[in-house]
Parts: sequence; C-alpha cells; structure tokens
Amino acid sequence: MRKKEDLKTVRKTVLMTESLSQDIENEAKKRGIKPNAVMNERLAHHKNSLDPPLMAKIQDLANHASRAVQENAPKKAKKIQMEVSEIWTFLNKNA
Amino acid sequence: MDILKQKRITDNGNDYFRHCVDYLFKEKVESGEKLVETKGYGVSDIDPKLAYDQMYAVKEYYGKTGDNPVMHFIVSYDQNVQDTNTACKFTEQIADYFSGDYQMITAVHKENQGGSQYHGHIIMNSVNLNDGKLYHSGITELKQLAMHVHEVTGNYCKTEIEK
Repeated sequence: MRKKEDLKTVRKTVLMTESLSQDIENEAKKRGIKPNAVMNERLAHHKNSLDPPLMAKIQDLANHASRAVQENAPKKAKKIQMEVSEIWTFLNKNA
Repeated sequence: MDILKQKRITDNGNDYFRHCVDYLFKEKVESGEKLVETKGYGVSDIDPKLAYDQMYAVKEYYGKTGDNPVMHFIVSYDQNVQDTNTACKFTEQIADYFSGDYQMITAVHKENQGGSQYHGHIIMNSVNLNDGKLYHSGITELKQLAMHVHEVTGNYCKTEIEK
C-alpha cells in the first residue's frame, strides 16, 4: 500500500494552447474521467507509448498464439509468454 | 438454478489476490474433482506469476495499488450443465461481460457441489484497463451480472455476497 505522503498533491498552474486543452477535454469526456486524470496520466507516462489497453490486446494475441502451439510445442508456448512479459516490464518505465 | 457468488476481500487483500491467481492455475488433487480449463483475458493464461505481475502493472500504471485488489466471482451452474464444453462456453460468455475493460483469469472446475457438476471462477483486476477506475462492487452491479448469467445459461441466477 502507498504511503500517505505519496498521495499528497500540489496545485500547479499550467499554460497550454486552446487546442491541447480541447484535446484533453475531449479525451476525458470520451473515457468518462476528469480532465485532471488525463493530464496526470499524460505527464506520468509521457515517455511511454504503451498503455494498459494496448498491453492487454498484445497479451490476448500471445494467449491465442500459445494456445495454438501448446499441445505440440509447449516450450514455444512458454517462450511466447515470456517474450510478451518482457514488453509488460516497459509499461511503468518512463526513462 | 445457477448461483453467482461474489467474494470481496479487503483485509490482507494482496495475499488473497496472489492466492486466488495461483488457485485458478492449480490442478485439483481431490478425487472426482478436476481443473477443466484456465483462460486469461489481458493476462497470461499459462503462468500464474506472469498473470499476477501483469495485473499489478496495470494497478501501478494508474497508481491504484492500495485498494481492494481483486474481484472474485464464482458461478455454480445448474445441474442441467453436464458437460465440459457447455461449462467452458458459458464461462467464456459470462466473462465477455467484462472483457475489454478488465483483466481476468477464468477457471472451470468439475466438482460435485450439491448437485452442481461444474462451476466457473472469474478473478478480475478491480482496476479498469481503460480509465483506471475501481470496479464498484455493489449489489446493483452484482444483480446486473446475474441478469447476464441468466441470459447466457437460460437458468434463474441467485446471487450471494461473501465477505
């Protein structure tokens, strides 16, 4: 569980273009979340183009592939899963 | 009649989370009981450690590692479900209700429980893949899921909540 200090927030005033502001509003509306959440997500993951829906899709494809080969080539099935698991490790890396 | 049970554990949630994931991959050792199938949705379906880590990665992404980590649903099928194909098909169709929004692991067990021959487990990450919101595990949501179970199986679906 995260510590209380990690959950503390600060207020910052940020200037941005009208179009960026609109883009954030539109995404928030589309996803049913607050613009503040969209801004935080973009800032926290700005160096990472992977996101959870994309990773889940890649994982589902890997599951289909490993299921198809599991019976005849179980080692290959495991290898597919391990390779995708490497991509998963980049989801929360921003460097 | 089908029975839909919801388990929601908030104490030692992470231990329960890990235990649940492991349980869905484990072969049954008791005689007359069998793990029929384990499937992953947005998570690995052949390795419990990978599945756990992938669910945890989504929690970390949205900064939601401290809340109720997992939802556990169990559907005990009516005794008219007598074969593995039907039990697996029903479990897959029930899981479709959440797929695309939540990561899940499903498992079908063959086990006689008061006449019910098969039951399906659904372990679901409580954090939504698309917006990071936590699943609201109220009675209304459970009833809606029960309606979906009824549409899939054609049987009346009774709900139970276990804490």
